[in-house]
Amino acid sequence: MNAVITGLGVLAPNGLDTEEYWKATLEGRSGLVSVEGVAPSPTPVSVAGRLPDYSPDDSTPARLRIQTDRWTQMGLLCTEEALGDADLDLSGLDPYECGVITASASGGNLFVQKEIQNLYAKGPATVTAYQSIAWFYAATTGQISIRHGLKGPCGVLVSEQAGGLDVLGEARRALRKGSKMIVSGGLEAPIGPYALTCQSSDPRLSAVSDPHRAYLPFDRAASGHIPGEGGAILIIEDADSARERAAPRVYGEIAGGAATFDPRPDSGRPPGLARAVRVALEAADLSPDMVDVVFADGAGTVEGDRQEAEALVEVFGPRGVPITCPKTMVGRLYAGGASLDAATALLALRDQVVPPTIGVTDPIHDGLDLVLGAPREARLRTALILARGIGGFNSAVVLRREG
Amino acid sequence: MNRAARPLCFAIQPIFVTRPLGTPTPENPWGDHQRTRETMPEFTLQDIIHIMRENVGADESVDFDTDISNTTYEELGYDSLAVMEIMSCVEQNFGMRIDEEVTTDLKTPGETVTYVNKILTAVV
Repeated sequence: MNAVITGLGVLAPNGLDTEEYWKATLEGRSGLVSVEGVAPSPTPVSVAGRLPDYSPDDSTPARLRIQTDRWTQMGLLCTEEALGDADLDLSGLDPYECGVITASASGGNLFVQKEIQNLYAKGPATVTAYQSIAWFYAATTGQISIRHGLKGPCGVLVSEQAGGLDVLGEARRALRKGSKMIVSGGLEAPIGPYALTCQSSDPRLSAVSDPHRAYLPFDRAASGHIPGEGGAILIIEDADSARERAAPRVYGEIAGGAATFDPRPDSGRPPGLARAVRVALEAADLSPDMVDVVFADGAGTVEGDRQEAEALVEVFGPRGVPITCPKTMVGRLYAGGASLDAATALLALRDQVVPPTIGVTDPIHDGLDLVLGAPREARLRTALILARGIGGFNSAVVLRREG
Repeated sequence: MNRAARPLCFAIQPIFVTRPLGTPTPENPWGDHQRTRETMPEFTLQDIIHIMRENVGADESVDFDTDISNTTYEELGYDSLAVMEIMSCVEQNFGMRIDEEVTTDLKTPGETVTYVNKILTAVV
């Protein structure tokens, strides 16, 4: 059983659909902007990746708008795009063989903010009944499932920023158990006073106010990360059923993946990232030299970047593989980030070009072959995507172009 | 805290907010207003339609220009949570409480209007 990706839907700070995002990414166009004043003091965040001129209200029916968070509305929109891209006629499929597995790291922040304000200012009776379903991590999965009548395996993975990759493994598992199609991916809408306050205790947040300098993974000037909103939805299908229905395109297959967890920081044992990479390659039956490009996690912190650089050099050798971090253009989208990276990797495999890492000028490690400033054309067959989540999550997924 | 003194659901004019506050008692823990016949508001089908459209959201397929008073909430596209939200908005807008057990028996907007008016006219 092979799990293939047949459709993509993207919402990112530098592009409101797949092709707009991909074009901006190849051109190195950033979606990072100043959000001075959004976060209450003393939250240090003054730069974030925001969806430009995006109002989910335009695309979400009134009923759904009232009962959903912005993050869920984004998920519904990405799903529409992805299903359209896959040219999937759901009426031709058994609804019990179609599922939805998404990732979320913080749920419906903006909805929560509104209802907390109602609760404190006006009393419990003014809190909408929809609060019970709108904030919840599984809300996006549930609304996608209801809207499209997908009654097979449904779930949400909450493994911080690794979740956006973990869902691909979970989707593949569902296909192995007999499903034909899984709507997968992750999104996040973490930009608002309440959401940013929740993040404010995280020392990894960058306090730099210049959008061009605030998030510089693998650079000596790295100062932490900045948050962004958006993500991607991927349509994962059983390769045979995709072929049978003559799917218009197959972006690639999920060749292998692995998730590991870091040991306790004071244990003296190494972090779990290199192990995740090795196990993922083993699962894909590939040796390190067969990987053509790595989409790095790019923590943007001194410690996180060092750990990732060491893991990559350990597995691939010094300058053994091109490495890129297009997140430098959108920020860290939490559960949406790794799903977006997976979508980006598939577009890279399609067009045989590695998108650039922007802003980085002074890399921390000579052993990294970073694709800096401009895209690099290359013969790409296999891409490795890495994601790490706060608290010790590591995830690695290998995507392979067919043929 | 007095229920009727709270700011109300977005769209409908508050009716009881200017009235004196009720006193909470064991039988009336929220201190709901003790109503009299003179101040009794009337709750109409238009009121509940307004709540359905503005506060809870309407299914695109529903035509509110037709008589929907005997159409079930389910047929109008409202699930149990949506019905709960409709009742909650009625409560806030009309400064009253609807027994939760009654909520499940009210299957149509028409039944709700009848029930609410019965409560509103009950002189305490």
